[in-house]
Parts: sequence; structure tokens; C-alpha cells
Amino acid sequence: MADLSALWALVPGGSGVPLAKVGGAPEPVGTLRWPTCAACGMPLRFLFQLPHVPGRLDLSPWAAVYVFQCENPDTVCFRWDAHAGANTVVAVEEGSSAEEGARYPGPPYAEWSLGLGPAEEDTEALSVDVNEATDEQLAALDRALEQAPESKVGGVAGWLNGDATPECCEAPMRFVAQLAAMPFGLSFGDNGRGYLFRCRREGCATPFRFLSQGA
Amino acid sequence: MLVRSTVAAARPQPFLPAATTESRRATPRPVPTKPQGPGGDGFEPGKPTRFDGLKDKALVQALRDAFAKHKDLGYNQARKVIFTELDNHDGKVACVYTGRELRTNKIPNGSDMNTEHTWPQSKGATGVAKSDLHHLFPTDSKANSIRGSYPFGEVKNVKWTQGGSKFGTDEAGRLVFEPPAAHKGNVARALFYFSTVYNKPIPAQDEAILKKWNVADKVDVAERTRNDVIQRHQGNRNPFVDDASLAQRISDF
Repeated sequence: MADLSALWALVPGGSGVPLAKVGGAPEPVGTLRWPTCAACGMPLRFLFQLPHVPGRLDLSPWAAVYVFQCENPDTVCFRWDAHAGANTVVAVEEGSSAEEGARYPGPPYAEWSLGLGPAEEDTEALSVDVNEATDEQLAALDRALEQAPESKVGGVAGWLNGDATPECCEAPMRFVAQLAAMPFGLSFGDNGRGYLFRCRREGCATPFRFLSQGA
Repeated sequence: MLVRSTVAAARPQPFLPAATTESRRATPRPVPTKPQGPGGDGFEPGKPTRFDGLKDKALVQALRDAFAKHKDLGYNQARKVIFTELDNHDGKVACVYTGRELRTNKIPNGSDMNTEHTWPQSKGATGVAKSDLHHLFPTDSKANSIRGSYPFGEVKNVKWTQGGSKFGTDEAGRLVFEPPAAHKGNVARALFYFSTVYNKPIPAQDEAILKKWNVADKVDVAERTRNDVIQRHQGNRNPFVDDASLAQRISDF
């Protein structure tokens, strides 16, 4: 638990955090190459972006991350999978704003600004190993999941359907943020959530990974 | 242990104790010789039931009164029951959509195999319903993600298939998910139960297909045994498993 990042709720429609948003078009803080799906080759659909916010959301040395997933209506690409290449997290360093590559051909998601709000969660209850937990601890986990913010940066990942922490460079990745599908209408499966993780190894070629999980 | 009830009124019934650790390990697992608890006295083969003569809304109400009340296990306890006992057969859990088996004695990593809400959370399976074992099944996480919250139906144009499950468009062009033949009846009876107990309507076009599946894929021993084990944990039964003909007497779920 010692390496948990500070918890902040991601507030739909909130303000005060420039560049934090869902939907619309990405706002590059440097050069953003629009990613394509490794499975079908189609440009991915933009989901959300989060900026580095000193003291609250540490993405350094990158200035912002941009998250995309495949929404090709003619294929079933595994966009929920952290390693299938049907979603991508593009980390961008500060520079001249530029966009490269073909955009997703369909309409963008509706645009929402995001704010960061104070939040609390029961870290101990959320961190329990479900296979070692007592009945009381499992009940406490259920309560903690209901009370924790659905969309947040930092804290403990709130899994809808069991811990699915991805690994990178032979180690479990570090939880960065999660975003609920609603109210944004994002395609994360049944009542789902998207989860953003960061590799613990400096210099990793894929420093961030994304996955989503439905009920 | 926290005990919560669903909203529907039901005559008081004692909850049966949950399985002990020892009984969970037993193979084959012990099951009641006779259905007990809510509604259990109504489904002995060849004997009249208190639901005889009822149909449509009167039957739905009577079934809701008799079967809605149950113990809320909580979602994570429900997942534990599924993977360690209810759907764990000789140390293996099989995905109901693809047939893929996972050898496990615990809740697996969520990216490998997880829990399917046959009635989606986004369509009302929240609160107590989120943890109701009668509509929860183990699934390959990919298959679960593909199903998402799409309705069940008969796929004509296949976009994905594995182990008898299909995802694609139906004759009307709707995106639908079709489970394998051996699970179609289970899906139908799980949804009939959910609709009845939680007072949620089933769209007419879905209902017609589910009723067809209910007839085509009849209740088998495994489904009856599952109903028995669920009763031991949460104290109620799925009456549509005990008597599959009930669904045909309800014209509009």
C-alpha cells in the first residue's frame, strides 16, 4: 500500500484542470500520433486525456496521456485487453502541438471536462486478497467498492469483476486512474470501467497500458 | 452475517445454512434429497403445486411472492461460491459460453475468467440482484466482454464465434449474442427468474426466442443440482428450473 498515489475523484463536468477531458478531439500538448488497431488496422477512437498535474497526478516526464480504443463496427477486436493492441495509451511530452496520422473516421464521443475533487476510500478494504479474505472482509470490500469514487486518479483500483492488474517488464503495473463508462457513454462493456496503469520500469517502451472491464 | 431481503413480500422461510468448508470439498457435493425452503414444496414430480391454475400476471405475482426473498451474499462472496463450489467440478471451472475449462480452487484473475451477469447490471442487475447466483455464471473474460450488455438472440451474420457461442447481427440487424445450444435453456430460465423476482420486463422479441430456447434446451441434472446448491447458499430456488413449463403459462414477462 505504500506506493499508492494520492486519491482524487475525477468529476464529470468539473473545471480547474486544463486538458483533463473525455471525448471530443484530443488536445495535444506535443506531437500526438493517432494510433491504429494492431488487430484490424483501423484508427482507434479517442476516449479521454489526462494531464500531468504536479502534486496530484504524476505522469512525468510526460505532459499528458491520451487513451484510445478500437471501435471498428465490422470487427471484434479485443479492446478491453491491455496487451492485444486494440487500445493504446499515447504518452506525449511537452512540445509544439501537432497531430499525425489518420483520425478515427466515426463521430467523437461527446465532450466532457473533468475536474479533480477530494475523495476518500477504504484503502484497506479495497486492497484485500479475495482468496484469503474472511466473509466479513469480502462484505467490507463490497461496501468499499460502492463507496469509492467510480472515476478517480490514485488510490486502489476498484475492480468490477476481479483483479486484472496487467503486468509489464515482469512486474505488476502501478495503478494510475480509472474511468467509469457512465455518464460519458463509453463502450467498456456492461456497466464497465476503464483502468490506466503505468509500468514500474523507467525507460519501458510502453510506459502506460489501458484495459476495461464490464460486469 | 448481514442478511438483506428483496422487496417482494414472501412468507417467512428459514434460511438453510451455507455449506461448510468440508462439504464444499466433497465430490460429488451433497444436495438436498427434496427441494426445501421457498416454493420447494411445490415441485415434486407428478404432484399438484400451489401454482396450478395460475397464469400470466397472477402466476408471476405468486412466483414473486414465493421466490423473491433470499439472502444477499454480496458480490464478492457470490464470486467465491461460483469459483470454489457452485461451478467448480473436480477442480475445474468451465466457461458457459465457450466451454473453456480453467483448473482452479480459487477466484481466478479477472482477465482470465470472471463472472457473467446474464441480466446485465446496466439493465437493472444492481443492489441485491448483482449478487443473485441464479443469473451469475463463470465465463471466459473475453467472451464476457464480447457479450457485454447485448441482448441474447439468434445470430445470422457472425462476427465472432467460439465454443458454440456467436456474436453478430440477427435477422433484424440487431447486434445480439447467442450462447451455445447447451446453455440456451439455462439463459432463458435465468432471465425468466430475474424478470419475475425483480419485476423487470423482457422485450417481446427477446422473450419469443427465450421461450423457444427454454423448450429446445431442457433442464438437465446439472441445472437441477445447481439450483439445489444455490438454495443452500441464498435460500431460494429458480422455479423455472423446477418446472420449465411455467414460462409457457406467462404470455408477457
